[in-house]
Amino acid sequence: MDRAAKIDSRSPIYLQLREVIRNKIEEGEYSPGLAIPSENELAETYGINRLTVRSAIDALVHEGLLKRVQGKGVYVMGRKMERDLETLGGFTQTMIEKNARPSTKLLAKARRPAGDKYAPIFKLGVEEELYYVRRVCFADESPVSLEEIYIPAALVPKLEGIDLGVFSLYEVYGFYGIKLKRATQTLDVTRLGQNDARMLGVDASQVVFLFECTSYDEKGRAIEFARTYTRGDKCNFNVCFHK
Amino acid sequence: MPRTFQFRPRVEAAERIESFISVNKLPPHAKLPSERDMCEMWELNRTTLRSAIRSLMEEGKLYNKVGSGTFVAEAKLTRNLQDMLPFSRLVASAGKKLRSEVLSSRVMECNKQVSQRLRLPLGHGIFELIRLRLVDDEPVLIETAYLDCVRHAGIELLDFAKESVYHSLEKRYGTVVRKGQEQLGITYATEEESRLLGIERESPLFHLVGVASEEDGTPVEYFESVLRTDKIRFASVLTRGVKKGKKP
Repeated sequence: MDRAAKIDSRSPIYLQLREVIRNKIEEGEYSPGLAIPSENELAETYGINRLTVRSAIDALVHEGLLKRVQGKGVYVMGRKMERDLETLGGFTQTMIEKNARPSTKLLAKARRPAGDKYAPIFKLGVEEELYYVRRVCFADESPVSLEEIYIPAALVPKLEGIDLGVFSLYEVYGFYGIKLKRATQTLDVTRLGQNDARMLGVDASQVVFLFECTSYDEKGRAIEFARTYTRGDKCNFNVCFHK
Repeated sequence: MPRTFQFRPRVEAAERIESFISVNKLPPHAKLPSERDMCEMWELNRTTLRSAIRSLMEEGKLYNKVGSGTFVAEAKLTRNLQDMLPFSRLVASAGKKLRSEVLSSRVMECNKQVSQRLRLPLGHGIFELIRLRLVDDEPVLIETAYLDCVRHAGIELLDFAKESVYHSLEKRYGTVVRKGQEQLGITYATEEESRLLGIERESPLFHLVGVASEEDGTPVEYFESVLRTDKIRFASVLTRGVKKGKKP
């Protein structure tokens, strides 16, 4: 957010301007949904080159704070969604807590053999079946993440018939008396293939967060393995640490 | 909804490669079979195999050397976001060597950003320390720390290429950092960052900003780091219904 503290009068002009704009957004002088002054106006105000203005704006567009609209101008985007990295909760639950309206679009729901990769995670044979769910999650209509979820079919035998647009996976686990207790999660950064990138509304060259999360119930059984690709320009993650 | 699953070819190919590595216990830097052999072994076409390799490279599981093939990547350092294991110990436990270079160390007046985070008045004396940290001589992160140098008088005289910040705070000043809060996002390398980290300009980086505090919540350190995504991954444990700011 602010490498600002390090920017001073010796820093390159485009970096100084970037922090000026960022500050104005943080302090509400430039507010979400509205346009910031044009490149020409900014160039004139600060007595700098228009190309310099452009690279300052580009950097903030890249970070997701500003959006360039062809032929119209540069707009301030809403605040990034802040998600908590410690509390176990499905996407729906997380979004409701953050006051964003969640929805999902199912892309695939099918059975597949566990195979060499997933059999060890669930302590299953390679031929035993998993449910595979692939979906896009939206917050207030805009795509936030692409999820691929694997669940041993024997744990939720009727998942096929359950409408995941109506019930969250957490509710489905509840139907089967499964209570998720803890999960271990890793976080990397990756790029998506052309098609997957399009689903998330990002460019294939843009990086996304990749979460891999294994959830366990109170008996310590692995219930779900999820791989979630989350837009880095839409979300930040909060975490508390302690000794 | 079809009952039988149609594997997406790229996904299937990627799973095959990953299980090949784990079943054969291939260590980091081991070479994978040639593309032709893998295609034959799993009855895949070249395009599918290559796209699978590319996606595993993006995830940092494989790397290639032009002209000599595809190799298993070294595991990234996994940093747990919730514990306070010093970076030096994390590196040591991976059997590697940590080196720190002090890029800048100075006393400055508290500016607005720092003042809000450390709850100190504008103009208050602040010690700013910027370090580059290298693992086995490869630069992996740049870390900036801001500390109250009135409370910690003389801190700017210590050699932080050798000393740990938290250790010095505790031993010399009796300030014990117990907890904190941080925020993680993605950013892109500036020219200077890319030069220091030996990566291309605009490469993605993890961006971590936060405040570390004493037991009673008094802020001690405001920090900001950028970390190479190809060298470091983060981990955390999620539990149900644990509220923020719980006591250890």
